[in-house]
Amino acid sequence: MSKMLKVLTTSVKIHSVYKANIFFNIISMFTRILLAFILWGVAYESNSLIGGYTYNQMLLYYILSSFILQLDKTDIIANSMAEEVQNGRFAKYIIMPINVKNYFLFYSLGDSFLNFLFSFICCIGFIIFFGLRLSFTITAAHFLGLLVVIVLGILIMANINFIIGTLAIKYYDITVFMMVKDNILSLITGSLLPLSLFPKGILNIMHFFPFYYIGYYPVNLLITGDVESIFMAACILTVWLFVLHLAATRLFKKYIMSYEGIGL
Amino acid sequence: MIDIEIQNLSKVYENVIKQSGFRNSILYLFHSQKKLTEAINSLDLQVMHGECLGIVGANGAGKTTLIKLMSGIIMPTSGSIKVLGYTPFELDIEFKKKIAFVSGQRNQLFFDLTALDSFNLLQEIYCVQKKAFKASLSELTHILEVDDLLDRPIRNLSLGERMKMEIIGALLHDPQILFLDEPTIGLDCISQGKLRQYLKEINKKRNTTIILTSHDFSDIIDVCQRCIVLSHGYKIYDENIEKLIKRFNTKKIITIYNDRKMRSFVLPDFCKIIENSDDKLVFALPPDKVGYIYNQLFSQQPTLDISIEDEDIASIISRVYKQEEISLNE
Repeated sequence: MSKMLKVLTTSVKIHSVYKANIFFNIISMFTRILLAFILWGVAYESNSLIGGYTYNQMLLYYILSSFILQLDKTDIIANSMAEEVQNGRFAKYIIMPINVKNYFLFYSLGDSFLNFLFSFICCIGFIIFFGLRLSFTITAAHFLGLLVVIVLGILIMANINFIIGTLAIKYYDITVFMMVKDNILSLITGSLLPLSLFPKGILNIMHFFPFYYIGYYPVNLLITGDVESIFMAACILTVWLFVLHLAATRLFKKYIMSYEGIGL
Repeated sequence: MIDIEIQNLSKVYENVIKQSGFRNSILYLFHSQKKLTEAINSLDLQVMHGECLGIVGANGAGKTTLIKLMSGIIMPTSGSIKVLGYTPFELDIEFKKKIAFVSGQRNQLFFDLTALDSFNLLQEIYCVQKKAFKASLSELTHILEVDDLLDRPIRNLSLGERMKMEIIGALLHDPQILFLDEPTIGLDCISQGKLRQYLKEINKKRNTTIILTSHDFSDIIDVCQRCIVLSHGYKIYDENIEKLIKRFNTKKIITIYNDRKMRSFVLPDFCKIIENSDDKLVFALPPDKVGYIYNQLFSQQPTLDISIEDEDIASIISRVYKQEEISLNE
């Protein structure tokens, strides 16, 4: 475990080198929320409730979902793996006495940690800036359950990104895979639109997939205080995590056999 | 004790052929051809513990492939390979703790971090005790003269300094086998000399087995006792370096430093002129004729400034390659 903690702290050191990245991350988060503020402002002129949300809740949704999705930096796993495969440096991870998947997971958590610090401060700033009222009704126990759901969500995303990163061993360029994944995820995790705006039939199906619980679910729970399904959410995520972990490990074992160390 | 045992090892790469040109690029979308390239062919090899083995060969001979196979980075197509009793491509954690790989072409350390930060991570990854880590680091940085560079980001270091840091990173966990793929690339001649000296030292002190590939034959001669020559994936020679040189050193080079107008002698047919300039004459001849020529020259001109040297090792090894090229073509 101490190995992986060292990887995490090393990753924090690496990601803190590029201060501009952190700054522009905050700018893009602010732009997204500002856009929601303007667009939903117009929509709420003629309605007081859209998809079960008040205007205040809708803006809170955008701020909190941005914060939670900022915590998930696991796309670094796929991107770093692809970059290292392409430039021939991936070999070093193969011959180091580490679990490659854990290494890249903790490497991405280092970036998540930095983002957590800055996003948290910014979220508070945004809430004050937009004059929003925070009124959470959940208990400490439910909050803990929520944290479990968020962590499971990050681990699921890490496995998905590790699977895509592993594809780089065979296909070298994973840009298209990443683009497809990002587009699908932004829709089905609710980062583009609250999922409550989707038709009920689709929403019911989404309950069985992990993505529903990654962005939309924790934010909705915080805003509406609907805590009844928290145990079920954790169970569904655990099952998916197990399945994806098996798939990622198997795929890596299979593809690493065909690694040719090109560029080394 | 045998550290590396390879039997009938072969590695075949499957490459996709993509021809140049716009039309071929479009056609490639619908149909691609594959070509099999035999990088290593039926290779047998044994390396004893504590041995320094040099691997030489022309570009594409299979040197790096062989080192990648031995370190477990790639999987062989056929044959068997055992390193320290492990099958490398099974990537056992204990096996990985016992080896180190340094490539002169690729950085293993983190570009954005200081060397010390990277070393601290390696200490944790390889489970090196703090005391041993400190002692190793201090020894290595002192020998390679980089004590004052530890707090500088790797990206701000020169190529040579970076290479030294890579080697320090590889040796911190005291590996039993050190794989070095062209480690002296980019180093100045003083650093090259120091690195070679150090490699010899760790081989002697720690009894580390060293497997070294290099295009600079001085590295091989200086560090290794034995070398194998690869050509088109085949092992064409495997013997003591001195013996190899003796076998293929079929020429001596004589240089006479004098004014062209002063040269009154005529060289016999067995002398092959290499350079005939205004101030010097250089020619090659069979080693057994040196005495005869020497006597002839001094009997005609007793005050000659003359040097007699062995052929340089690069030419000898090139001849080994060429001879093999001919036999392979035949």
